Amino acid sequence: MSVLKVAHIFSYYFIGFYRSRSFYFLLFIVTFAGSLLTYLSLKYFLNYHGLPIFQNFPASVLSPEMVLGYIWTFVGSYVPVFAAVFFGSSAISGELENKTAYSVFPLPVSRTSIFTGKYLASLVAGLMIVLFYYAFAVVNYTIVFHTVDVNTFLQSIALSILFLGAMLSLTFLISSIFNRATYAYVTVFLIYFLIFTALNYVIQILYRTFPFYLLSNTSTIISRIFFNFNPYDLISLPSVSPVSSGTVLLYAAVMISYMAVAYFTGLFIFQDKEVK
Amino acid sequence: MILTGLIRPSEGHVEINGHDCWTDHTGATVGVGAIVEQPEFHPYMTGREILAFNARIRGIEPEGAIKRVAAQTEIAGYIDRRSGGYSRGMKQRLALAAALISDPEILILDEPTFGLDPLGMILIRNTIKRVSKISRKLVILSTHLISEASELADRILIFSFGSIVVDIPSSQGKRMVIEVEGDLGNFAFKGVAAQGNLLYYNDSSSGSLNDLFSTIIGNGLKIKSVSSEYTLEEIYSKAQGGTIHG
Repeated sequence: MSVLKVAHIFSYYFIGFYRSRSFYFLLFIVTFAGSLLTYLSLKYFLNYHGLPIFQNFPASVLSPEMVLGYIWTFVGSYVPVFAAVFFGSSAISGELENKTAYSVFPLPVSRTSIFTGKYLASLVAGLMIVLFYYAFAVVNYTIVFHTVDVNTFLQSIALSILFLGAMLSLTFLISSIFNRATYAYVTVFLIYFLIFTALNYVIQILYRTFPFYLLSNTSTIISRIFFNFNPYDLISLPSVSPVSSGTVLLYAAVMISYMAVAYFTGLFIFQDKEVK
Repeated sequence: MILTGLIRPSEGHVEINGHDCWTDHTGATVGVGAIVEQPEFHPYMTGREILAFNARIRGIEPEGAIKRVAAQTEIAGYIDRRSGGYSRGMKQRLALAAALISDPEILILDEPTFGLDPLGMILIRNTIKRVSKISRKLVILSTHLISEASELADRILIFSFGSIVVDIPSSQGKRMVIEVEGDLGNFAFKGVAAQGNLLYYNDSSSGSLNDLFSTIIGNGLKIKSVSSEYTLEEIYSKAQGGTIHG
């Protein structure tokens, strides 16, 4: 694998992503979600004492900073999912379906370089969307509380990037299997929203253990660093404290594992894939 | 497809300059430019950006190379437009420009004129002729258009079910056989072979058929009969299991 060729592949595909309709559609979705949450933040959190949740949990126990940070980052944990699906699902399958593979794959560049360059381009394009969303969150948080919890937001952003990387690896793996982008899109959504969700509840009901290793569950760490409420967990009791750093590291390790295993499996499949 | 590393041979292996096309695709395609089927390009990229990408991947400076291939393939007029708006002919020309960007030793062209209008076909064919005849590059052309093969190729291979069934110089499909009465002993006409009382004329012979007839008569010989050998279409038909007519 040549680093220079990876850089050329990266810049070529990144420009393509940046100009694509998918990119602007995602920006629109994120802007829409951000606008809804901005309305919520500015209408209700500027004077949070009237909110029903703070009648049950006084602000001294459950701080409004925690709640608002949680809400923004919980919704934000879906941004990497959509970014990965939009940029990653067509990565290989789309090239075959649209016949662009015929103009790129015969070039004297290894499949590893193509895969890596495209992965990095998708990662940076997705990162731009994620950071755009976080900019919304931080601005709102600052307007409401006149300060920002820099450390927690930075942790949340770092975990979002890891999650984006893991999701992209998964989508690249699925994309390497199929010859049609639509199949890849549908399969990733099915795996993430249907299979992972079903497995989550089946495992909890049958084995009384929370399967944190399912990627959809792992992503909850992005918001649980504000306060430890996991809507998918039927076993543990919610806590008004943030999750422990040990849990954060464990979840980060799960994301890195997904990223590495799915990336190399996808690469292995792609290297052996014939373009017919 | 096998030569460009897109598919794996079902058996055996194919090498270019000692590099296996499947296991060492990068090494095999260094000196190779290719058009595979009907190539598509990323619609948000301009022709210039696509050519620059091809040049950079091949480790060459894009600016001069783009200028050269744009002139060769006559794409300068729309090179700065996004390829999503290109017609089939424009895409095919861009594909040829991309294939020529590194001035490759070998040009692999898979149906390069498929779906093109007559003017587009002429342009592509003329460019191929320039590359193969003037630049002396090896051009491997895959086509179902026999007239195209006949016009462009020096050597024609006909495949049937993956095996070569015909391997002939292209001129063979255009050979005229002229039977004469009289002694051909000292007869000479450039490019015309004489055997017994038969003269074999083909397109690569230097003079026209009329010149040949005049020379025959001028030598005191008499033309007994003129017939053509199998055309390429007939050879192809026979190779595919059909019958040869006429």
